[in-house]
Amino acid sequence: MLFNSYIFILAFLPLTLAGFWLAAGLGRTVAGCWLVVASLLFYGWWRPGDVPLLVVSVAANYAASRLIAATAGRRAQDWLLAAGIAANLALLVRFKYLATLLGLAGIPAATPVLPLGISFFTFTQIGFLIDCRQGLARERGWLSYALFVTFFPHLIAGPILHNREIMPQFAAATTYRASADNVAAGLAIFLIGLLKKCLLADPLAATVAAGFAHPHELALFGAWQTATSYSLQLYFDFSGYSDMAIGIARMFNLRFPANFNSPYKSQSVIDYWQRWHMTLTRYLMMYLYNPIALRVTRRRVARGLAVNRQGQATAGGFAAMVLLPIWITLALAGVWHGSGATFLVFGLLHAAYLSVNHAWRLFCPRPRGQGAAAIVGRIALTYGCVLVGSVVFRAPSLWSAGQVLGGMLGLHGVSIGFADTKEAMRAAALTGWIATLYAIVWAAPNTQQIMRACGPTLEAVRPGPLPWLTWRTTLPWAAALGCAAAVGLGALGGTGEFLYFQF
Amino acid sequence: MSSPPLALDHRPVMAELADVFRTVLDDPEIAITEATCADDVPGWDSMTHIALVVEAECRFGVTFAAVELDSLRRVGDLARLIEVKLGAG
Repeated sequence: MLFNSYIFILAFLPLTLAGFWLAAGLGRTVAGCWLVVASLLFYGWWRPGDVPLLVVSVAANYAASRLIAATAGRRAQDWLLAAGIAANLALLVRFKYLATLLGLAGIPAATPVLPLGISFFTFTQIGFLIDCRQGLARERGWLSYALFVTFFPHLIAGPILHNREIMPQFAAATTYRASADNVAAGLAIFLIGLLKKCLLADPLAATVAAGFAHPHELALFGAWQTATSYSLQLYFDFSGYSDMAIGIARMFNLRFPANFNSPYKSQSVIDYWQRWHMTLTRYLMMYLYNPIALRVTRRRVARGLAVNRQGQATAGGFAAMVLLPIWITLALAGVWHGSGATFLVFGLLHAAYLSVNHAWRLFCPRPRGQGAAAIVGRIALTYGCVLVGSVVFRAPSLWSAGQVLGGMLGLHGVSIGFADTKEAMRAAALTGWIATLYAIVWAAPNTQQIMRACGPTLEAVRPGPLPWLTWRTTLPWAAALGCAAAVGLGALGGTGEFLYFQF
Repeated sequence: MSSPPLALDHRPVMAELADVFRTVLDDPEIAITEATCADDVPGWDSMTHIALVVEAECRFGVTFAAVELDSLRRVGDLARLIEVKLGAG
C-alpha cells in the first residue's frame, strides 16, 4: 500500500489509528497485536505472497536473538550470530544478487521479483542480532520486536530504526494513550511529506524518464535538465516519504529518527553523508565502518604505531585508518541498493570523494572561510560531486551514465534548438520549475525546522531560515494545512510509487 | 536519541580524557567539557572518533563495542560509558 493513495489516507490510516486506540483500552498486548496485523495487511496489500517471507524472517530472527542472548559468554554465541547473519544475507542474495552472480558465471537465470522492503527489514534484524551478541539489546519482548520490524510506517523504505530507540517506546505505557497533540503534529509532518512527493517530485518524473531513455541524444541543456531533475526528484521523493513515515509514527505517539537534514546544503561530502539517508549512514557506521576502523586502529596500537593525527597523516596510516574502512563501507553501501554495476560505481565514486575530503582536512588543515562566497563555493562543489553521483545512481547502465555526463560536458552538442514554440515554452517552464525547487532546497527550512516546536524527531533541531515558517497549533496554520491536504489529495491521481521501493 | 542529564561526577575521567583529546588531535590547547561535541572540536570527525576511542581504551583499560560508538556524541557520553565499564570491571 502506498502512503500517497486514497485507500491509505482515507481508509487504512484512520481505521488503523482508531482501532489502535480502541484496542489500547483492552491492553497493550491487544493494541500491539492490532498494529502488527495492520502492518502485515499494509505490507501484503500489493503482493500478498510476500507476507509469509516477512513473517518467517521476523519469527526466525526473534528465535535466533533469544538463542544468542541465552548463550552469552559461550563460544556457541558467536556461531549462532554468524549463522543468523549468514541466513539473512543468504535471503538477500537469493532475491537481489543471485541472478547477477550466476550471469557473471555464464549461467542464465531469471531475476526473481524482489520482495518489498527486503533490504530494509533484513538489515534491521541483522543489527538486532549483533546488538544481542554485544548485550546491548535490553528490551527483548516478542511483541516489541515484531512491532520494531514490521510497524508499517518504516517497513518498506525506512527510516532504518535501531532497537535502542524504538523498542522502549513500544514498551512504554504512554504510547498507548490517545494524544490529540501528537495526531496534529503527525498530520502536519505527513502533509508536508505528501506535498513534497505529489507536487514537487512527481512532476519531474516524465522529464527524468525521457532523458535517461535516450541519453545519447541529450545536448548540453537537455543533459543538465535531466540530471538536475533527477537529483531534485530523488530528494523530494525520498525525503517526502521519510516525512510521511515520521508523521504517521507520530500519530501513534512514536518518535522516529530524522532521515534527511537539508543534504544539498552540505559544505563537504563528509557533511553530505551525515545529512542524506541519515539512518542508512548510521547503520553502516555502526555495523561496518566502526568495526573495520576499530580493528585496524587497535592493530596499529598493538604494533606500536601512532594513531593520532600525525599517524593518520602518514601514507600507511592514511591507507589503513582512512581509505580501507571508507572504500569497503561505500562499496557495500552502493551494492546495498542493487546488483547493477552502476550501484557499485556510485559507491566507489563517493568513496573517492570522501577520501579526497579526508585527505584535504588532514594534509591541508586550515580554518574554513566563513564569507558568503566561500560557503556558496563549498556548497556548489559538494553539490556538483553529488549530482554526478546521482546520474550514475539513476542510470540503467554505465554506458547511459556516461552518455548523460558526456551531454553535461557538451559532448553531444551545445545548441539550444527547439522544434516549435510549444516545445520552447515547455522547456522554459521546466527550467523555471527546477529553479523554484532549488530555491526551496537552498533557501527554505526543512521539515524538522518547520515542525521544530513539536520536537518532530529524536534529534535536537537547530533553527532554520525563515523563522516565521514555524508550525504552531493556530488557526492560520490549521487553514494552511487544510489547503495543503486538499491540494495533496487532489494531486494523488498522477502519482506513482516511491523511488526507494525498488531497494 | 538525546542523552540523559550529566549529573555524575566525571572529573578524574574527564582530566584523563582531556589528555586523550590533546594527544590524538595533536593539539595541546584543546579544552573539553562534558558537553563538548564533534561540532566544537576541529578535526573530530568519524576517523578521529575511532582513534579517540582506541586511545581511551588504552588509557582506561576498557574495551568498547563497535555498536556503542554511535551513542558517544558528547565527551560526557564517553566519560559516562568509561565509568560504567570501570565500575563493571
